[in-house]
Amino acid sequence: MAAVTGADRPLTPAEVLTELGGDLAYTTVMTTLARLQEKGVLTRERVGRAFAYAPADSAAVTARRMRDVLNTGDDREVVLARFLDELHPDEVPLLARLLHEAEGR
Amino acid sequence: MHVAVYLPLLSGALLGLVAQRLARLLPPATAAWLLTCAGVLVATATSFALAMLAVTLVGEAAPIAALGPWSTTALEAASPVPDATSVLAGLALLVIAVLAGRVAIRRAKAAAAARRLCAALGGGPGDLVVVDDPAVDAFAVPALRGRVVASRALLASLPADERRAVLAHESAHLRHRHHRHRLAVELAAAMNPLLRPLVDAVDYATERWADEDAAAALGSRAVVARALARAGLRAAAADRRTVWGVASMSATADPSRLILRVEALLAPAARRRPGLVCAVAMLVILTVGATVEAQRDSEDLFEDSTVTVAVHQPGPALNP
Repeated sequence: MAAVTGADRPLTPAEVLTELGGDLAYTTVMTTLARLQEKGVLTRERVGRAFAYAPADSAAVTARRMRDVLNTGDDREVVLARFLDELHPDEVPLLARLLHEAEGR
Repeated sequence: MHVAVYLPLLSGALLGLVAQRLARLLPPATAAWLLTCAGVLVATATSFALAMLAVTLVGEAAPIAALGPWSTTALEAASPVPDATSVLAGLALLVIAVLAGRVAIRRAKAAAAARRLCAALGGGPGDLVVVDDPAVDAFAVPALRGRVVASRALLASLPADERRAVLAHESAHLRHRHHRHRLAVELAAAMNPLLRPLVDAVDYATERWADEDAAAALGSRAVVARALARAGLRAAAADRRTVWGVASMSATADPSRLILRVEALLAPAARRRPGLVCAVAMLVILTVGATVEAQRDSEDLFEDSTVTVAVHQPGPALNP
């Protein structure tokens, strides 16, 4: 991740491997990068036969992370209180009536 | 000791039964404090009572009695607690410890996740962070002294005064540290499952508290009601799937919380009902008092058994 973020251009898995310098397998690096891309942390573009990866812009990462928090189910604990509560679809007309009443005040 | 020791269970059940009603009847801040304190005290009394029931049997075990000055036979004869009850109480204590531990671990993980989220969101303490998200929602993250997060979709769908209502609502959560109420009552429910309904009741009370706080800040309860209703309708139109817990509710269920909150804001403010508050407080005081009294009985039990030993011991010495 740091290797990709530190670079000033998109890197292919081979370049990331050189950058990391360790004795990692090429497929390991490729899989990791693909996973990060699936998670929305990295973006990728085709360069010849391989993909080159670049960090996704931070606003997108933030929005993505917020959605993750909201959708994991334990958001009630992470997030103090969402402004809105559950609403049954049948209650939409009732809520509309209440809005009308509130607007009359 | 006989009855007193079971009182926490009784008052726990009673509190569980009336929690929702209290949350709706009382002014929200009063309800939140009353339910949190009552829950924590009764839960503590429960564990205490269980510990007392269990300890008589532990005291009867020879290796442990050898450490203390009391006689196992005297204790067993004097103990009003059947062995089976003691064993059950001991097991219940173990289960409680595991459940409370799990709640604590889950909460610690959630707090870490909240801190990571805050760090990712950026901004300073109490700042508003607007995210580009199609979901119509806002929330407060109680980490690193708090962030309020609102989606651009929500803010765009509301007029200026209602936007202020949303932000005032979320800052009220952070300012009054509502997450602590929720954590406390969740731990209490882990210690005494009969208190489980208090979790939802305190949840609701803190939501209402934040609503009323926002209304006070804006000088109008109708604005907050409008903000809630409009945002709710917008969210319903935008995305039913992610926002609404539809599957869990049947058509015959109580009105959902959003409806209750809007209705409460349109109704006159809740009366203070000091009599009702006192009644709940008395129940809790009685429970705690009885548990302390039972603890004293339990100590006496061990002491009495100790006296018996002192009387019997000189026997062989006098007649060698």
